[in-house]
Amino acid sequence: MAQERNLLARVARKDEAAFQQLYSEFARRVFRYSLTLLRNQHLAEEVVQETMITVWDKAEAFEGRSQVSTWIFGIARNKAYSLLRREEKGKRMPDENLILADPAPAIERKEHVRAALDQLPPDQREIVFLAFYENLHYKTIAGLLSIPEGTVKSRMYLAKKKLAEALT
Amino acid sequence: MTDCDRVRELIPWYVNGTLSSNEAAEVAGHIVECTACRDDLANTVSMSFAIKGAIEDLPDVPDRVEEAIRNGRDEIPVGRMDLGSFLVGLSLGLSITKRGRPRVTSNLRLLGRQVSIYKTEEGGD
Repeated sequence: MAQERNLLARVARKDEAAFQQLYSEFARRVFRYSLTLLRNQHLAEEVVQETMITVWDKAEAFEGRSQVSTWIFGIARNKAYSLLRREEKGKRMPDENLILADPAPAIERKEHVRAALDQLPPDQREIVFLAFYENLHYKTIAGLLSIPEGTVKSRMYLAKKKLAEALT
Repeated sequence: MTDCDRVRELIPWYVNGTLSSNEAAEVAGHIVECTACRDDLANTVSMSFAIKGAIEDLPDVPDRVEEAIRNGRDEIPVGRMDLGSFLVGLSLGLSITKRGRPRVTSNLRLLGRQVSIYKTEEGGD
């Protein structure tokens, strides 16, 4: 954590190497978060791009009240929802088939899981991602999404129920 | 709320290892005695692995994103114009780089899909 804060402080001083390190640490995570939310690769790329530019421009605004990762995911979330609102006007559809990296036979099972995840409402999909992939505490998720802790837990409960049905 | 309800609410965060020591002890103490919650824990562990695996398998960020960020950090937008409808749209953008170079981008959107049709390239110094 301290290392990430230190990195962000250097980014605030426009240190290119620090930005490069921060990009290496977060670009893929933000991309996967955006893909999970938006289900569209082009939009997810836009979110990474806009998020990292905002991090570069606004690093000095980070007040240290949250973890750096939570701050960055918060920026990404705002960008994603703002792109989503823009796209809803143009009715761009989610990608039907994202190209997966792993050609192994296990891909079929993974596709099945991903399809089950895709079927969840976005607000439940987001909680599942943040809890199971980013390993965030429910209080952190509640803060990031500006919702009560009880809502985080109830969304997870509903998501688990639907995932269990889809995966059996 | 019964003990089972409360514990099941906490199980996803027991699995991701983020509960406080008191909460984790509460879950651990309960599942020793409750078969149904133990089953829920086992299912949640398996679900968590499956979700992680599926997300890990998503594509990586293409290199063009890093390049676009490099260009974007260097640009000050001057203006942007969007024309069109649901079926087809055209956007034109003009910005100036911090080195004083103008940059023009143009994108065509067909049925909601964006196609880049023109972009001035950054030259070297």
